[in-house]
Amino acid sequence: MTLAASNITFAHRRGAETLTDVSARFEPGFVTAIVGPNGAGKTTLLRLLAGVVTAGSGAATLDGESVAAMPPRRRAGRIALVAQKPTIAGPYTVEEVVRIGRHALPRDERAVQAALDRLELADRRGRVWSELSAGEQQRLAVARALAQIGADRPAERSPTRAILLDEPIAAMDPRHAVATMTLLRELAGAGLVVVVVLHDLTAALAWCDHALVLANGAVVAAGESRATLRPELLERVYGTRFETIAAGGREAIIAVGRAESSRTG
Amino acid sequence: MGNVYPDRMSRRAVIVLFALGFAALAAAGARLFAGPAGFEPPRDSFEFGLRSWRIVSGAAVGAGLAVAGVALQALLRNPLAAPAVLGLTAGAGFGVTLATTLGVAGAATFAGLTGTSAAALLGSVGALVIVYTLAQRRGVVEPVTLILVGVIVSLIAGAGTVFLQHLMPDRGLAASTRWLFGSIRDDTPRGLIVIAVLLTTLGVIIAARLGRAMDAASLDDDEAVSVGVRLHGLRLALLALAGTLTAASVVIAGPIGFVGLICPHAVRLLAGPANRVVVIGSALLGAGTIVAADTLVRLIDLGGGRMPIGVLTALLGGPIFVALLRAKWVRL
Repeated sequence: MTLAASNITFAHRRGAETLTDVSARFEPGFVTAIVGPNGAGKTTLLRLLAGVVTAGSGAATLDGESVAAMPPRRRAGRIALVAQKPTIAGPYTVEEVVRIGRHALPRDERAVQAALDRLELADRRGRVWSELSAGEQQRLAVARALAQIGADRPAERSPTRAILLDEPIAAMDPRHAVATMTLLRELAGAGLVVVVVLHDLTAALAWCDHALVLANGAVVAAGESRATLRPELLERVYGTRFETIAAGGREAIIAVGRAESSRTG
Repeated sequence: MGNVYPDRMSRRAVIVLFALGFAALAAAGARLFAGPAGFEPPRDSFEFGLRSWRIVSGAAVGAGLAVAGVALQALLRNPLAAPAVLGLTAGAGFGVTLATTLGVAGAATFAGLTGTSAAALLGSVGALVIVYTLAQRRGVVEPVTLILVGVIVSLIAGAGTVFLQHLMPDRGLAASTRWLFGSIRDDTPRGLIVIAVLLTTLGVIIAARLGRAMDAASLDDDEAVSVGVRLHGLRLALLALAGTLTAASVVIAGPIGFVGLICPHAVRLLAGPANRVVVIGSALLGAGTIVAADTLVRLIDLGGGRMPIGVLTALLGGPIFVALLRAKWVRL
């Protein structure tokens, strides 16, 4: 009952981001953050997990079955990807965008309605998506993904399903960021595998159960986020110094300046 | 912020499609009765046949160009895409000019193809092959590269055409220039029209069936693959479809601009962006537009004989396009 990466090695044709022998497990019921410096391979790992690209060696698997080898229809019903800046070419309405999530799958108006309700977009259903605010557009992309995997169906009567998001809160104000991370927790609580690429380490610490730290295409650390996202490790990975401060019963982690030595560059 | 229910959307689409179908039929009726002295019924079965064949070939040309425009706008995710960006029309123009230069334009060739239409076919297919070869990487079509290569091939073919015209004595220049603006002709071989009609019908059906996939492919590439679109296969299919439809229409009528650009937008404006509806609506609107334009050039005689349809569509289509642009449709 997991989404897993097993010894994945991947090289882009143009040699941009590469991954070397990456292994990781993502369980239903947990939110896992993928963090790491720019170019560490976070997005590439997410795309491999989504089955959008195929690993050079090793494989991404869902319940033991290769994601890349799954027929597109079946994969679409089980793994949904939300890209970094979701756009759609054309004046589609909110409802049409959500329905596109069901493209390869049987028509399911209940899944569409449930997704619209869950993301509080039901009263915007007839609006053209580009008229929405940036935060609403991000919610629309999540709604599309939820309709796609039929997130309204109870987990105990469905195979493992996953939602993968690439920096969903990067362009959001704090209120929407909190709302989005809260939603991801609810989705995990409903039995989904939730994997989210984040740059905001405090958000990773505050909202994610697990963290996977990537640097230079390799896994540097993985585990419970509180145990993993420590200043010493992050200093090695990012090449800048971090400190944690306690605030409101939570821990915030902030970059405070130059590293004394940068070992990983 | 009124609620839009699924069945209301489809009802609106159905109404738009019926209206466009009716308009296309009206255009066909008008063309049937348009003669040298204004509107009058065909005098004999010969004239009836002549006008009917013009209607059929005009409808095929218009439907083909408009649906090629839909396919290309979906393929390139670019609202400005039109058959001309693939370089096919410029390639056909170069082919015809070359044939005129070599003096083989009038020659009868195989299967009822005239020298001119054979040259147009070779020119457009040649351009498609060049554009595809340069715009793909391991069989995967890259939209941005495709636009760039298409524009460059167009420019080169256009320059080649002007160069050949520069070498021509006046008669050839007049003939090939006239062809370069596109028109429906009475002497188009009927076998050719039948082939074009069959190809166009098939193309419209395939495009309509690909409508939902085109919708899903409007998402970001990765998201499109995630929702289950076979993106590479879809792009190849759309390119082949647009190429075939454009080539068929260019062979019949020469290059006719703006129909492939404007019809998809007009239908989207009326019926929404769902591509299945846009395909069918554009086919009807494109067919009606060319048949109506052919009626107008028949009725308007400025003393120099019939105006090429391509001139009319450009003169009317350009301002309409600008008006649409200023109004509201550019919403990405």
